[in-house]
Amino acid sequence: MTVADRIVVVAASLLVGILFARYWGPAVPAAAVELRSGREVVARYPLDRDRRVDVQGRLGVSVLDIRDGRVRFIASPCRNKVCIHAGWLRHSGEAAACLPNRVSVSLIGGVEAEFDAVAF
Amino acid sequence: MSDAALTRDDRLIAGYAALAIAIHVLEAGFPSPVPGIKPGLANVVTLIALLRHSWRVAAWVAGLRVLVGSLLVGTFLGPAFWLSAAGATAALAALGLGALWNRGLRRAALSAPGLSVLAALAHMGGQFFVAYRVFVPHPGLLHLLPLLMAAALLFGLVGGWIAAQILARLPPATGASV
Repeated sequence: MTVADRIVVVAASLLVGILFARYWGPAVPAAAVELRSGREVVARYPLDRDRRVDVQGRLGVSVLDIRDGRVRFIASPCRNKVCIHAGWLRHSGEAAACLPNRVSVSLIGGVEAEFDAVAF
Repeated sequence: MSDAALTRDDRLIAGYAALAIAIHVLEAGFPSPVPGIKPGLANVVTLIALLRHSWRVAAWVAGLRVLVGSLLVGTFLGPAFWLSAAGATAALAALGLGALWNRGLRRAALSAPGLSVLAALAHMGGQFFVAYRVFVPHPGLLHLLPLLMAAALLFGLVGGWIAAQILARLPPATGASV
């Protein structure tokens, strides 16, 4: 191994370490849900209290169901209902979105395991 | 370049590519715990082609391997093919940069292990980018990234070590340029 080889290996190890620190986390239960309509965060709710939330989106109202520390879409004015089929979300970092209605939810809190940004 | 030189290069490429394709097909038969992780021993052939000959020869070998390998395994134009092609393209780009580096800084030149690790990380990175952007744009996939990259680093080191051993046992190449 030459000096340059060693530098590459050390840099690669650092990169892998950083990736582990950033993205590798056990699935921890989330503490709260963040609701977005378009780019704006319209509300945050803790997951420990059950409730139903209406979120006004571009096409209409999406309905979210928060229960037992989980959240799911139960109604949305879209065609494919991808958001509803996403089902229950419970772990920090998970997300679901109704793209036609521009409404999305992401779970936050817990210990960490949170994304800085998620691109759809 | 005379016709004779071209023929020699062509023969080299054909020989290396045949070897790489055989390894590619054999590896495809092995089960893998996580999709996307495999030793990538076929890349050792690419690396040897680069270090003994040129980037051009290496690029031909890798391209032929991805194309013919996918035809033989039956993944041609399927997702696995695109992932493989993206990985090979990224790895070749990384090897190209490595070769340029070596041309500029002969005293701090990269050898087989460094180039192999670079190529392996680039291969996995390119593959992951296409997988994440095109096939499964789900944030959960990001959780796999550290594991995939760690595997790439490990297999890059192993591949580099194998390539170094083979290179040390081969008679000196004529016309090596890296």
